[in-house]
Formats: sequence, C-alpha cells, structure tokens
Amino acid sequence: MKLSRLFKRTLVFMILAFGLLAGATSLYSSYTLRERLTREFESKGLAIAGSIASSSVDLLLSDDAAAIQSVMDQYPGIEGVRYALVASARGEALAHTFVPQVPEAVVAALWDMRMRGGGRLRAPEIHDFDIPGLGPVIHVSYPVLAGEAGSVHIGMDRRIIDTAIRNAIINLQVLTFGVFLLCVVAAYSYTDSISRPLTALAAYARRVRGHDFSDPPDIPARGDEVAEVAEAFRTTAQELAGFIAELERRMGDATAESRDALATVSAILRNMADGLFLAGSHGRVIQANPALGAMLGRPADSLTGLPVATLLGADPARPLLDGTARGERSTAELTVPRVGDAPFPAEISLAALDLGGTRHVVGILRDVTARRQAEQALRDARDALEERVRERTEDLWRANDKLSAEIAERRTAEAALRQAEAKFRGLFENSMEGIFRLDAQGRYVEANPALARIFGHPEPGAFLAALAEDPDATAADPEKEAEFLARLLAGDEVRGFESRARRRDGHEIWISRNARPVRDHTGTPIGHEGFLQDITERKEAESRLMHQAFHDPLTGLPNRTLFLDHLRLAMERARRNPGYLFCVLYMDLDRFKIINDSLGHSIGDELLKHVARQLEASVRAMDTVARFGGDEFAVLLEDFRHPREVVAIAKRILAAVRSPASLGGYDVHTSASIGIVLLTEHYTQADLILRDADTAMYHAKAAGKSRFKVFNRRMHEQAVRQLRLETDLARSVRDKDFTLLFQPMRDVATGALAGFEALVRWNHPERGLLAPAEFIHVAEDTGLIFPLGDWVLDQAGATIGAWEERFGPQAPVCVSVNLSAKQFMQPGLAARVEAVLRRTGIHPPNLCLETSESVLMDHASAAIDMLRQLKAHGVTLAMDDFGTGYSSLSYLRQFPIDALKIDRSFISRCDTDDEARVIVNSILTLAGNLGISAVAEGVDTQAQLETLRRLGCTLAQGYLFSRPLPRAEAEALLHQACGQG
Amino acid sequence: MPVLRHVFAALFLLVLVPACPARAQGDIVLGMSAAFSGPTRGLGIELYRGAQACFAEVNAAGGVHGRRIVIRALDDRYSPGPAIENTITFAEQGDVFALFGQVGTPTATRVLPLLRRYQGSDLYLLFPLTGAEPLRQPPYARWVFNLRASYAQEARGLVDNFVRQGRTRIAVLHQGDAYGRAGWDGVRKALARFDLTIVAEASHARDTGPEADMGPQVDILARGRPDAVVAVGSSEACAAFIRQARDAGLSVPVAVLSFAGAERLTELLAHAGAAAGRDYTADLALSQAVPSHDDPNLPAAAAYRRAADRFAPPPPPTLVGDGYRPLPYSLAAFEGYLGARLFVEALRHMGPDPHPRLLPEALRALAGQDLGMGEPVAFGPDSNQALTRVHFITVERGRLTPLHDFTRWRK
Repeated sequence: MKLSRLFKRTLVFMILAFGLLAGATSLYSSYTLRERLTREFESKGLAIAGSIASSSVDLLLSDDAAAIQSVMDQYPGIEGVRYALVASARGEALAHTFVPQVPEAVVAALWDMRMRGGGRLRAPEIHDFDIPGLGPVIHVSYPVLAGEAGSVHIGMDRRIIDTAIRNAIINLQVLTFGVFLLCVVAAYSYTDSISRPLTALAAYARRVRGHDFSDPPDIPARGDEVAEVAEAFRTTAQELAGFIAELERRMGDATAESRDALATVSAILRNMADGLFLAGSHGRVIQANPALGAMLGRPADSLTGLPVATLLGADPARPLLDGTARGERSTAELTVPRVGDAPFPAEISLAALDLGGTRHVVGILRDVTARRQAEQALRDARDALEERVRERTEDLWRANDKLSAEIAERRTAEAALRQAEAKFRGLFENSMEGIFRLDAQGRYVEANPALARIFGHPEPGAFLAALAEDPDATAADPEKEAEFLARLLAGDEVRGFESRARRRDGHEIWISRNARPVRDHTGTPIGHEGFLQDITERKEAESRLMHQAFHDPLTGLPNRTLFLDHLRLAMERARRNPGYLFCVLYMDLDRFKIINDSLGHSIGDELLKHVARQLEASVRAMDTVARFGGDEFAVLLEDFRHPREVVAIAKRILAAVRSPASLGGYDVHTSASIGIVLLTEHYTQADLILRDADTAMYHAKAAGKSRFKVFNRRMHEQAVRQLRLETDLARSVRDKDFTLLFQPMRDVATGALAGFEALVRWNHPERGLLAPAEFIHVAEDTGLIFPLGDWVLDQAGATIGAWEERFGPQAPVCVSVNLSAKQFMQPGLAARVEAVLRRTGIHPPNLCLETSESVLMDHASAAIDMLRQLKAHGVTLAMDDFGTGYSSLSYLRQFPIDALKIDRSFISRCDTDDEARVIVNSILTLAGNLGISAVAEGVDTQAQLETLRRLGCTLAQGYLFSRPLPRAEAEALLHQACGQG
Repeated sequence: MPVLRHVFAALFLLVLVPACPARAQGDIVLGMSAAFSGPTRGLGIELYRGAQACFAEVNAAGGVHGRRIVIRALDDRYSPGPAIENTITFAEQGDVFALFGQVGTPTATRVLPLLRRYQGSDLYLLFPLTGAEPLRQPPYARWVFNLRASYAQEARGLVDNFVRQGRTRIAVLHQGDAYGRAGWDGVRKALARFDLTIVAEASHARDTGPEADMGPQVDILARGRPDAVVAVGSSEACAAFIRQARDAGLSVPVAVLSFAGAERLTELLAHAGAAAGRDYTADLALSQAVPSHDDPNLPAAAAYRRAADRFAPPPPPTLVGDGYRPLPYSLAAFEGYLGARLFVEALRHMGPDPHPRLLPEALRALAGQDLGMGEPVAFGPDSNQALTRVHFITVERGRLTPLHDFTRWRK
C-alpha cells in the first residue's frame, strides 16, 4: 500500500504526539502513584504497627514473647507486610517474623533507636530500607505505651508499589496505544479522502504541463475545499487550453510577418547603393552586401572573414573601429583602397549592435568620390566665378561702351554660370546637412532632401507641401521661432541658432540653424539661405551631463550643489515675498556605519536607496530631498503655512526610516536623527542654514537618536562659544600658553616617591588656568591636539632630562604623559616619541605614556600595533582609567603594557562600597596575573589608602599625597627623596 | 385426659430433644482439630491414635456410665486459620463436649480467644500438644487443661543441664512462629537466671521439610561459637538442621524440644545418615514433656502398649490413603493416650450426667492421684498442667534411650 505523504506526515505527527503523551502520562502517573501508594503503605504500616502495639502492651509488660509472636504471626499474611518485629523497651527483638535472622538494617535501626532515645521510641517513625533478600521496604517503627513498653516495627514491601505502578503504566500504555491505533485509522481514512483527489489532480497537472488537457480527473463534488480546488483547476485548465491554442495561432502569424520583414530587409540590403557590412567583435566581416563588393572591387562573398581594417585601409579605419567597439556611433570620411583601382573617398557610418550577447559593428560605406569632385568643382567654380564676376563687373563698367563687342564673351560667362549652378544643385541635393532657402518673409521656398529627412519627410516636395499647409508644422517653441524670424527679418546673419523643432511624427528634436540674408544687387533682401543640423544627440548628452552634475548617482536625489541652488531660490523667493515660509531638515542615519561595516557596502547602498525612497514618499512633491553623501540627507520644505506641518513631516520621516527594510535577505533596522532650521528669514547665506541644521541634528543625536531637534538660539550661542573656544585655543597653542604640573605617585607600603604624572593646564588669558577636561575635546575636534600633544611630550622629555642630570637616571624621575584618543591613533606618534627620546637623551623607561582603556579597546587591533611600536623604543606604557572600558581579557594579554591605572571612580568608593572594593581587588589580582603593576588614581582619604594597602595595591596617587605641583615643587620633592634615599 | 397428657409429653419431648441432643444421652464427642496432613501430620495422627486406643478400650468395656467417647477430627494442617475455623465449627455444632488435643503452639494460641468467646457454652480445650506459655497463663488458662510440661520447663531443664556441664554458650534455632518463640523465650529466661544470654539465634519457616537448606541457619549459629544448640522446631526442620550442622562441622550437642517427635526425628536422621554414610544421631538431647512409653516403671506405659497392640487404631477416617504408615508405638500417641486417660477419669468422676460445665471441677479432683504416669497429677488452683517433670532421651545405636544426665557433654 502506498501511503500518501499527507498521511505520512500526520502519522509522524501522531507518533510524536502520542509518544510524548505516553511518556508524559507514564512519568506523571508513576510519580503520583508512587507518592500515593507510598503514603498509603506508610499509613497502612502505621495502622498495623499501631494495632500490634495496642494488642502487645500487656504481653510486653509480662515479657511473654510467645504470645507476642502469636499476635504477630498473622500479620505477614497481610498484603504488603514484609515483616513484623516487636522490640522490648531495651531495644531487643522479642519477637519477629524474619527467617533466618533479623537483617542487619533492622538491627542497626534498633541499635540507632537505642542510642538515640535510650531505647525509647517516642513517636512513630518511617524509614526506607533496602534489605538484601527482602528488597526495598518502608520500615515503620511504632512505640508501645509511648515507648515505655517497647516498640513495634513493620516492614511494608515497596516492590508492591513498583508492581502496581508498572501495571498501571502498562494499562495506560495499552489504552493509549489503542486510542493511537483508532486515531491512525481515522487519520488514514481522512487523509486518504483528501490525498486521493489531490494525487489525481497532481497527475492531471503533470499532463497539463505537457499540454495534454484531455480527460480531466473525476473528483466527486462533495462541496469541500478539495472539490472546489479540483473544479477551479479543471476550469483553469480548460481556459489555459484555449489560451495556448490562441497563442500558438498568434505566434504562427507573427513568425510569418517577421519572415516577410526579413525578406524585405534582405532585398533592401541586396539592392541598396551603399555598401553595408556586419563585422563581429573580432573585427572581421561576417556579412556584406553586393554593393560593398562592387565598391571595393571584390566579389561580395569573398569579403566574409576579412578584417574590416584591411577592407577599409588599416590606418584611417582603426580609431574609427576602436570607437565603435566602445559603443559609440561614428561617422567619418576616409579613403578606402579598391582592388585593381585607385583608392576612393568614402563616407562611413559605423554603429555598434549587440547580437546574441556579443558586440557587432554595422557599417555603411558610401562612395563619395562624386560628391568630393562636385564639392571641389563647386569650390573651384565659385572662386572662378567670383573672380570673373569681379572682373566682369569691372569690365562691364570699363567696357560699357564696348558692350556689343563683348556679348560673346558674356555669353560664355553665362554658360559657365549655368554650369556652376548645376554643380551647386548637385551639392544641394546630396548634402548631409539640411540646406534651405527662405523667402523674404521667412517661408521655406526650397529644401534639400537631407532637410526633409531631418523633419521626417521622404522628400523635399512633401516637406514643402506640409509647410505650405501649416507654416508652423516644424515649430515646437513658438517664442524661439519668432525670435529666429525676427533676427532674420532684421537682416542679421544668424549663426548656431539652437531650438527645438517638431518632426513629422511628432517627436521633438533639437536643431541648429545658420542663415544669412540673400540680397539682390540693390541690397534689398530677397530671401534667406542657410543650413540646418539635427543636434538632438548632442543636446541629450549635454542634458545627461547636467543631470549628473547635480544629482547623486546612487539615489538619484539632487546633490548638495543642486540643493543649495534650490535653497538659494527659496531664500530669494522668501525675500521677495515675506509670507513665504520654508525650512531645512538635515538628517543623518544613526546606525549606518555599523550596518555598512557588518552587512557590507552593497546592503549599505541598498539602505541608502531605501531611505531615499522613504524620504521622497514622506514629503510633498514640491519639496527637495537631497543626499549630501555618506548617510546625510537634507530636505527643503517650501511654502508651508505653519511649523506644525514641518513637525508632522519630520515625524513621518522618522517613522518611515524606523520601519525595518528587507534588504538582501536581512531585516535592516535603522533610525535617523533630524536637525531642523525653522526660522529661515534672517539668513543671508544658504551655507549657514545648512550648518545650523547640522548643529541641531547633532543635538538630536546627542539627545538619544531617532528624534529631531529644531535649531534655537541656545544652540546658536553654544556654537558661538565653541567657535570662540576654538579660536582661543588655536591662539594659545600657537603662543604656547600652557603649563605642565606634576602629581607625585607614591609607594603604598613605604610612602616613597615613585614618579610623577604630568598634567597640562591651559593658561587662558581671561579664565585663568583650565584643566584638560575643559579644552581637550575641543583640541581633539580641531586637530589642535597634535601641536599641543607635541608640546607636552617635549616639555615632559625636557623635564625628565633635567631631572636625570640632576638626580641621576635611577632616581624616581619617571613622568607619565597622557595621550588622547586622536593623539594615540596618529600614525607618526612612534616617530615623534623617538625624536623626543633622541633629542633629550633620557633613559627611555622614565617616560611613561598613558592611554585610557576605552581608547585601546575601541581600536584594539590598531592599538596593539601602536603599543608595540612604542614599546620598541623602550618607554613605559600604562592603561589609564582601567575598569571603565570593558576590557577584553584576550586583548589585555596582547597589550605590551607595564601598568594598569585603576579608575578613580572605584578608588573613591573602595573604603565604603563593597562592590567597588571587590572590583579593585579583582583588578589587582588581574594585574598580578598579567605580571604588571597597578596604580590607584585619585586616593583622597586615609581610609582609602588603608583599604588599598590591605588589598595589596603597590602604587597610588591622589590629593591625599599631593595635588599636582609646579615643576619647582616637584623638584623639591625629588630632592628630598634623593636626599633621604 | 391421660391420652391428652401423653400427647403433651410427646410434644414436650419433641421440643426438648433438639435443644440438648447428645448431652443427655449418646456419645461423648470430643472435637479434635489437629495437623492430619502436611509435615507435622505425624504428631496429629499419632496423638489421635493414642487417644483412640484409650477410648476404644473404654468403649469396648461399655463406655463411661454407658456412654461411648468418640473423637470428631478435623484437619487444620498446622495452620492457625483452619484451626480457628475448625474450632468455631465444633462450637457451633453444639454436641461437642470439649476440644481435645490441639497440636502445636501457633494453632493453639490462636484458638485461645475463641474459648473466651464461647465461655458461656463451657468450651474447654483439653491436653493440647504444646508447651506454650499462653495456655498456662491468664487470661486463657482457665479454659485450658494441659497434660505436658511447658516449653519453658523443657528449656529450663535443658539449659540447667548444659550450664551444669559448663556449656554456657547456648544458641537457639527456632521455628519462626509462636511455638519457636515460646521455646526461644524459655531458653532466654532460663539463661537469664544465670545472667547469660542466647549467643546466637536463627529462625526457619514453619513448613520446613527434612530436605530443606538450613545452611544459612547453621552459619548464623556457628558464628556464635555455641557450646550447645537448642532447636525449637518440627522433626523435619530439626533433622534438616542437624544433618547440615554436622556436615558443616558443628559438633556441639543439639537439644531438641519435645514438639519434634522423637521417633520421626530419629527416623529422618537415620535415613539421612544411611544416605550420607555417617551417623547424624550422635550428641542429641531430646527433651520430653511426657514420660516415655518405653519406661518399664510406668504402669500407664504398659497399659498403653497393651491397648495399642489390641486396637491398633487407624488414622482419622478422612485422611486414609495419604501413605502415612502408623507407628506401633510413639511418644505422641502415648501423650494422646495419657490425655484420654485423664479425660476418662474426669468423666467417671462426673457421674452419669456429665456436663462440660463440670469439667474443671472433675479434672481438679484428680489432683494428687497417681494415674501411673510416674508423678501425681499436678492440677491445682494455680495450675492447669497435669505433669511437671521433663524427661530427656538420646539416641544410641539408632534407638531412643533415656538420658539421665548430661555428663557426657562435660566441658
């Protein structure tokens, strides 16, 4: 029997479900049964023991063991009673039912009882024994006469409980199995009723796939879903059959049509006057028409396989072909060799064509020998004509009186003129450019075929007829057209007049026109002549370039330049119209860098596109959404009436960005922070609006992300203050308005001086001495940290040098210098340190460089490199603020550091707070395990010092010992230390 | 009217006869529930046969005051349950004069409460074959009359003799029931008088057969390094123990309480000895609660043998065909005979109109009389036991021989 997959799945599910059910019920019922039966047996044991006890009181008191035994003998017959024993008040077994002797466990229990209660059992007790030969029992001890007369002991057989549980579980499982079988049968019949029609449908579906629509399966219409599906399927199959028949018929038609078209094209190719070839990507001819063969003096079928370069003459053709290979379309004139004849000039048009996935080149070659000759002739003729006309005119004037004598000559000249006219006509007819002649009112009176072609007409006659019917047929821009006409009528020569025009089929094209007036011999304008070029392609290329210049290529949004342009326009509009309100939103994604780094740039780019679409969807059509690069976007909201509209839009944007995007298989969550400049009327520069929006955006980010902030005065003032501080700091760095202070570091055990930490102070011209906390972040932001850090390093190096000279290099002249994050990560740091060491000649370990734990951990792998470079120069390295940066132990092992400086936040609480003490202790243990020293920072009280001493900390610094000292005072300390030492 | 009077008399008789059917006239019926099957059946059957020998002789001579004495026997298979059922049956039948010769402590001690239950019917238990203390102590002693000395007395006799010979380390093998416990208790209390305790004790199941494995019990007792072993069990169990104890090298004297029939024990040991090619009967001390039928000095013994020879009573009719071969004479049958003699004497003492109510008085009236049992009947106000002396026998050359002292086991 083949089981349907539906049934198999149901069966597997039922097996699992029933298996689970059986397991669970077995466990549960065995547990409850065991509990219940154990309680029952215990109470039964207690009852039996109680009954023996009550009937044995007298017998025990009279010490009649046989009578007691007689009482007891009946009990082992009771189900579950394994044994019975009566002990005297002294704990001796007076009567029992054991054979051959009282087991050790029971003897031991009696002995215990005797030991514990002096033989007296005061209350019933229950124990569990596993007695060899008897198996597990519940041993119930029961006092007789409150233990004064003795005690009764009953052993209840635990195996009965196990048997009962086993039987109960077997019954349960048999029942469960029965139900299971019933369910299997029910499920089988149920799934069979579903799967049988489905199988039939599936078989029919396979046949339908092979376009066999005959004999649909017979599914009884029982009104259930399966029957509905079957019915729907049958109907669909029938419709499908109809569709396919229709489709096949249409395809037949289409094939016939295209065959006809192909035949037509072939005929054209065979019969066209121009040579045409198709070359493959390898540059060899694949196909050529007879005209080409004729042109080149070769049989058409011998061309196939020849390199195009050979055909066209290697040198002139190559750049042209290369150009084509890059997908350009090119037209050129070149001299083409001809077999058995002289080379001839030809115009060649090449176009790239993708056929079957590879690039092919289609070339059309036109022999322009005739045209060249005509042009040359025309030029010559014109020159000659002009010369002759001039001479003639002179002659006319000179020989007016000799007119008759010269008539013959004049006839000759006229004949030549006619000849030139004919030649000019040829040029006119065959030019690639459109050539036209207008009457004095600007109406077309003549046009060459090229012109007609440009405007989509088959030949000039039709073009002129169309214009006669509708003088504006080609005009797409009436204003421009009027301007052109006006300039013409004003008698100007018009050059390169570009305008849009309309072809016969309605397409707009760009044309460029040159025209000049034609005057009669009196100078009266009798019309205009000129030529016209189709410059649509050039215009489109220009327009594309324009778009690229002002849009972000990734998202297609306007870029910063275009946004600023729009913003300036809006400012202009607002200035003209005081009621016109606009505002700028500056937005930055909150987690973009993380997403970019973790999911890859392609997901990052997708996210940016997604956000761009969300932004566009969140604003109105008239608003400008721009991307400034990276994850920064700006929105220009124009012509709103009330600020709450802006707030609503900002909220809408935040919500849209917050909604997760499904990109490349990930659900990417991001959020944005938005800064808004709402009051824009007093701004004069677009840049400043953006700057303030940026500032507001940073406030929003700082306030917790995924929110917006409107720029206000306070932000402005803060920005101003920041700017001021930056300016001051820059000046001070230039003028070196800084001082170094030295805070001593001492041995916790002996109090001996162990070194100093150098601390920089800014000697602010107005605010006095400033601690680093007030300016280091500004220095970091502005990059002033580098010159400042160099200055500190130099100063510290110089100080150490001076001290070494005075006190010797072994004196505690070690000075620690703090390195900020930027400073630490600067590539030239090692070189700078080396320079200081070389310049000062100090003992390198006396210079200690400190960096905070968070800096090291944030750039762990780079930090390892930097620390190793520094270590190579022999300086001492310390990790500052330890305990705040969530150090990874594996990194900690790789850092070649010499000391950990325990953060002051732990030290300040270590005498009062258990948790802080535990942390300090852990850090000390950690430092011990790493084999490096630990320094406690910020020790302020004696109690803290005591705690540290107790915890085994070796070095400490803080106000308890000394505040940071000027160099002279530090020197005094050193002097004192060395004097004593 | 005389006719009418006769009619009334007849009617009166009709009413009265069912009320007291047998006690006025007819046989004196004794109800005997005992082991007539199972390992202990030898005791029950022989006890029955001994009593029947006596009653057959009395009945043959015309009965007591013209009334025959018959035993109605029911088998209790030495189990308390059937024993109780049988006793109730006897009590409810109404025509049973007294209960006679219950065999075994576990059965007899469980029947005791029934005597109190039927105290209004004057149901007495006569001469059960057990030495257990509850039959000799309040509250049940008043419904029981014993012939034999108690197990306590037997135990005391054995312990006294062993201790006298320097054998103070006494071990006990006992049946795991009231009988075994009674023997155990006897030994314990006897030893306590010398400030001694039982050095090792082991029990065995009640229905232990002669081929049973007593290895564990032998090991347990041997570990106590006893000077002597007191065995309180059936002949079969004791035989099994002795055989294996000897095989295991435990050669100390083994004393066996009287409940183990000496003849059966000897037979089993001889049989086993023949099979193993060794003598298992050496160093045995068999205590006896009644004198031996071999004792030539006892008139009762001669009378017993005579009656047994003459009547050779068969086993109880219900049990014919189980292959039991009756012994010509046996200690148990002699005990049955002696009990029957006592009852007959008491019946005679009651005169022509005996009633169970009169039994205690009639039996106590025999106190001090010598009925040829080697000592006077010892019934008294505080004693419901006829005999007090304990006798010892041993096995020599396969024969049961009186044992007068224990000097052979001097240590």
